[in-house]
Amino acid sequence: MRILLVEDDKSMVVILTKFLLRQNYVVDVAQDGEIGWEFVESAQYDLILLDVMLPKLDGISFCRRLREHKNQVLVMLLTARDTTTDKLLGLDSGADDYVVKPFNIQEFGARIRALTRRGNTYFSPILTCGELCLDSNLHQVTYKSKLLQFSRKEYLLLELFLRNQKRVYSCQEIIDHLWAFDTEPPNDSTVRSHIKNIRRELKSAGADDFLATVYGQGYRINPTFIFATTPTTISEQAATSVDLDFAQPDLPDLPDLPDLTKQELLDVSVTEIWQQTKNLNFERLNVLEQFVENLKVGIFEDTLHQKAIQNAHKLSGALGMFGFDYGATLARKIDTLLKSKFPPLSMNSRLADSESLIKKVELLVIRLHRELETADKDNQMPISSPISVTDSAKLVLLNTKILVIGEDIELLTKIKTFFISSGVQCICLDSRANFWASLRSFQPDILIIDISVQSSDWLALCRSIRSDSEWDWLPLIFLTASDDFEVQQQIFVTGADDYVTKPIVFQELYIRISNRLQRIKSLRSRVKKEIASNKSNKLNKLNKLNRGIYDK
Amino acid sequence: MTNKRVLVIDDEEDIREVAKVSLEIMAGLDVILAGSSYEGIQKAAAEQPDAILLDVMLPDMDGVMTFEQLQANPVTQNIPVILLTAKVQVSDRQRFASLGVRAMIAKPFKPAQLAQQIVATLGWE
Repeated sequence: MRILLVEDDKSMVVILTKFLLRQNYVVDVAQDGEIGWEFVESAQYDLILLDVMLPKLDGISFCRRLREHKNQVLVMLLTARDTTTDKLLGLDSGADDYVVKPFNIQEFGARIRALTRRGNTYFSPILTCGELCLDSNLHQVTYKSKLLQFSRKEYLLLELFLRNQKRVYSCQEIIDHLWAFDTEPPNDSTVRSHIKNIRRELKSAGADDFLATVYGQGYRINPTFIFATTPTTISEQAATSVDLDFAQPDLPDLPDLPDLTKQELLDVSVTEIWQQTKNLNFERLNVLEQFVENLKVGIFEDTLHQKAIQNAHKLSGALGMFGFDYGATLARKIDTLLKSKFPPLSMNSRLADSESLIKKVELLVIRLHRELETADKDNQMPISSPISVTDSAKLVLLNTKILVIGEDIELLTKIKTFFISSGVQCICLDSRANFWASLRSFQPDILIIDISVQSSDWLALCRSIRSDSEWDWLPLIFLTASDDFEVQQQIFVTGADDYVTKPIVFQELYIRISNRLQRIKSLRSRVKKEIASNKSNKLNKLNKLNRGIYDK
Repeated sequence: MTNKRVLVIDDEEDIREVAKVSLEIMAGLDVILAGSSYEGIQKAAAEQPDAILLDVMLPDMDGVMTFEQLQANPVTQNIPVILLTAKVQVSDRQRFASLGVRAMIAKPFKPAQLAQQIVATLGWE
């Protein structure tokens, strides 16, 4: 469904556009009445959202002009005025509905659905054709009750055909309906490839020739599918007149809708920006990696050093802003090291001191790289809500069960006190003796092993957990006293998911645990969804889940 | 109703864009963007924003010099400037304050808080 939004208030435009896009509408935006009118003349809209106070051509005159031109498109007026005279004036000008700002965005969405259902075009939230069913409230398509997967554009294309079941659409007409003006219009082959994908998905469900090609003209629904359709709601809509009682808007029963608060809209927008600009961070990281590579072969260049400092600084600012607090901390550490310890005095003589300094920077850069890659792979943003990192971690970790094992009793006590004061259930073991029994009775969500005291073979314990079919999924975090690269490599080879070096910064430990658990949670929910949709076989997905956990 | 307009001067695209959506969504402000000091100074004079959010580390001219240029031009000297900076040591804070900078916001900032901080600093609540 294509909507034109004519609105000059920038923040309204941002909020409404994001909301409408989320509801799977195609949206064009015009900032004043005249531009809006040009849009109306060049595209066919299903609904126009019209601000009343507009520069150049006000909403009421806009609406009158539409009706004078016999354009019967649905119009909803958006206005700050809230008097009966204004409402009547708006409706007399030919508008179909009226919302008063500030309005509740969910009510606004419901009104759009209500309006389009009773409008002069055929809009029902549930569209069926034979056994194919598209539920526009849930954005779901099923065939013989089997859930089908479509991309956003494929979904919109299918919706277009289902709303106009006997119509033939050419590629150009499809483009006109489904691509907004501000996006680069695709060529016909893009449309054809969407059609191909839709056909493939339909075929997998047994609806082989649902979309038929009409040679030289375009595409349509295969008429053999249409005969089975019950012609719902058309007559019902025709009988419904415009509802004048605004005190009792025509709100349908709705399923749960995403509740878009400003914070959520901001989160969505920030995530989009991250997606579009994340390569900048890989470029910044690349400068640091180059600097380290040079150092390793004994080259110290002042310009590159300055560039590296700048980029570490930028990384810290950007990652922190996107909510990757751990990545930001690493970048800040690198920044500080580069500023304070370089150039190392013994660059030429390659003394042990400078070797270890270089190793230290290298390690930090490697960790940062891993952080960035994980962020990229998960395609997921941390919470950017105004609550502090600690608070957000607390939310995630509340009621989490953590088992800690080690030999340093003092440290174990500190850890236990810290976790319990934060609402986490925590048990500490100071030897391996009761490990397996405690594991089974406590059923932890995560295990922390302190390997800094090396009298016990912790790595062997780690290996035995990884080979235990009941516990091989358990996330393992190591506490280590060593910054040594080889030790850390060994830790990962053994099957650890992460490590924290001593002295332990509790906040860091907290963030790492909460990150890990959040990722596992999101992996699990993804797998659950996929299993529910029967898209592929369950075992495969569980394997993927397990691999996902170990890969980190 | 006209919205307040803020000019954001930062050479980093991601930071610029996040600042923009933060100010637009959380505070309903209009945002003008500039990717360099030069562009920022031009736009400040031409667009007459209600406030300027200025990054301290810019490649073509640092934030302090940019600020001084804005101060030197009668057309832009009264526009309040907020510095976006990682340097939050007391000495820096005092130095910037003595120059006439309205406030400093530390990087990294949280998107949701940026708008609040700016609105509160400028008394636009």
